[in-house]
Amino acid sequence: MKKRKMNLKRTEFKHAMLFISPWIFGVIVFTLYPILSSLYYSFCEYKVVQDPIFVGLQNYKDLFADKTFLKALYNTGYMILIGVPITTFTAIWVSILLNNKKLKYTGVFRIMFFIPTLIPTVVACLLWVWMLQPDSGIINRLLGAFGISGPGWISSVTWSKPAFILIMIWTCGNAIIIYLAGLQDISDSLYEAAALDGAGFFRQTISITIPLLKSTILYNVVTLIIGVFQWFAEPYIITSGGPDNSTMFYALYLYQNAFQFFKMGYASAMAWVLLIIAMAIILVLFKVFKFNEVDS
Amino acid sequence: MNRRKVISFGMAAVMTAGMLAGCGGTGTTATSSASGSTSSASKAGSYENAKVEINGMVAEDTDLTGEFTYWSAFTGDSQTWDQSRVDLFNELYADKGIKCNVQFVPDGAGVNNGKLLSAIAGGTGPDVFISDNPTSVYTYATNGSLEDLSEPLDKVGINLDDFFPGCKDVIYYKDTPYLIPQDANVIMLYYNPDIATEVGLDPDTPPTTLEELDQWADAMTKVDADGNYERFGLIPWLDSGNDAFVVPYIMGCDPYDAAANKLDLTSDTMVNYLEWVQSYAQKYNPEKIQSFTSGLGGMFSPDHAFMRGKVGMTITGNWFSNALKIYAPDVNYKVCAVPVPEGGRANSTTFGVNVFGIPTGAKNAELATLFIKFCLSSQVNDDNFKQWRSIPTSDAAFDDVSLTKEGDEMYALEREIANSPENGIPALCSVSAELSTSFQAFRESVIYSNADIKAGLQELQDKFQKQLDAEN
Repeated sequence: MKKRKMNLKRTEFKHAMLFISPWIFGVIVFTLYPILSSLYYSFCEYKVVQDPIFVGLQNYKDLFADKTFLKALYNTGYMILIGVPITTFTAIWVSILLNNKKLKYTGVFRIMFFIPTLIPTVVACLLWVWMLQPDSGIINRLLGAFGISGPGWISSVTWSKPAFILIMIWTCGNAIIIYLAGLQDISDSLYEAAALDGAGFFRQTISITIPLLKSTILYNVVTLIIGVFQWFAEPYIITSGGPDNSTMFYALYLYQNAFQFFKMGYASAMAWVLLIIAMAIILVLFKVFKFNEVDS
Repeated sequence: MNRRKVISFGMAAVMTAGMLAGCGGTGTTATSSASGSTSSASKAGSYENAKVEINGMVAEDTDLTGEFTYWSAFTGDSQTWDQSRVDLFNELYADKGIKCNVQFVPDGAGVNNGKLLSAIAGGTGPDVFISDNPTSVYTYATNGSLEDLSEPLDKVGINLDDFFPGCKDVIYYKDTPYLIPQDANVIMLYYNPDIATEVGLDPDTPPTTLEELDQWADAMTKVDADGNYERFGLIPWLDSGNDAFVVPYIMGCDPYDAAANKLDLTSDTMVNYLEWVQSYAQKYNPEKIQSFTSGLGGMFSPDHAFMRGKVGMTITGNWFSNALKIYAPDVNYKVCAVPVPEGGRANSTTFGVNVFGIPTGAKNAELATLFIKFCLSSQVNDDNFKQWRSIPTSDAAFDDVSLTKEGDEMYALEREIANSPENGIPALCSVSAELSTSFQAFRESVIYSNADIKAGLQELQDKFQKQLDAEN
């Protein structure tokens, strides 16, 4: 009897392996192999058409002496430290407003905030190029209506990154949907109890909404940060990294090294540094947001 | 001895039979010329040897047959033109069983985004490509991604001595030919004679020195009552965004010595060039200029600053004439050689070129070279020259161009400039793509952030010389 059971289990295991074998094959060939080979290439000088030459840690040493790399790191850090909090703050407040039961036509507003995420990236970028034109763009015209002389935005070394933060905020519709789902999970009884105790809207938001939205905020912040590290299409299309490298973000510089200068080893080293930095930031966030405690 | 005679006789008989079989075929378009009847040995019956003539063009005598793949960088109007060129080639060589399969691959035939390199590495590259980015494509030659063209060029009879000496910078890497320029472009100063007249300048005596250019620029610059700029005379970097060393070279810089494999980015001429650019940035405030010009369009849009009369002069290539013709036909313009400082290359240019290359491992390199030869002919290029005012790669070929025959004044000036012995294509080396990008970024930091010129140039020099030394 035991032997028959064993045989059955073995057969089931074989069948299971057979069924998942395409996935295992795919992971090994298309994920694991490229990951491991990029790790190896990061220690090599590799130009695709020639055999890689092992150079040890040279690529990593060169990275931290490369001013453009440091600038790209700074620009990306700027977006994470300034752009991500502003975008998160905006998305949360918009979600709270959209979740307000007193507000009419919430469905229409939700669609309005979500629509920008449906626009293809290239189209959205070209749209922003026009909107941010210093002389004829709608943003500076609006500012002009209030007597404010608008800056050069993407033409200005100082204002190019804030211009990209505007774009980031415009496309936070996905985050708003997730925040809305999180907000709808919070029981109304908590707000009613707080209202009986005399807590106003802001007190309720700070003491009930934000703490209970922690895990949703963590998820959105982590995906936003990863998105910033991977940010490529927007700067590539809108500014190509200029002016004066003020919008040279990490992924754009990585692309340049890999596919324009054919320094695949150098670009691989950049990718691994990116992984380490992203992991460190996310671990810190998990700690700050006390991820496990929230879950428990 | 007898055996040799027998073999020779046998071979001659086989050749004669082959020739007779070839000539006996039923040619389609059939202008059988004298040379056609003495065409080379053929695999009897495999193709026609009779010469086909289309638009005055005759197919080469060749044993070759088969299909090959061609990647073209051209887009828009140029794509249409290139397609018609391929169609003509295919029609001309159809009887010989030769066919070109063209694919239009954006971003410089995949040079600018790594597509071509990936294809070459994966063994799926084309047999021949043309790219409009010689700076990047030159690095392909240096890293072994391109075929040595010495033999195939010899076979089809392309003589590299015919090319302008200035074009040879891009043709050769370490004395081996890898790239063939299809045509060349001349850099000139475009100026608006109406604006010149308006501010009291004589449009028939354009500036020739840098001092005169600055005087013209100042005279043409117009400020309104609120201190806002209505018009700039010249924005030195307006149309040279993607060109790193084009203007510095004309102004006398020699950024790279190929023979010694040495960079010279810190020369006085280079410092002077960047100081000149910086002087404009300091005089006019670069962010104001950028704000002023970014609302206007690029070169191929009706909103370009020169077309809108927002700038009186600009330094750019002959292709700008076509943009003006399409988008601003009413804007009056004249051209002259780029004014230079003392020690500069007066009446000279850097050649902007579209280059052909044959990737390593190409299956049909000889057919590809035959196609290159076809593309180099003035007859094929005549429409291209007429539309873009680009020039042939040799002086002799000018005589066959319609614009020359029509006595076009601007084209005559282009020819004169093209013949300057000082012309060249600067800074082509194994790191030219990265060097070019880094230099452009540094120029931006000089313009927008008032960077220290000497220190920045020294930094670039040290970084890239180290790379060059390591690679050679």
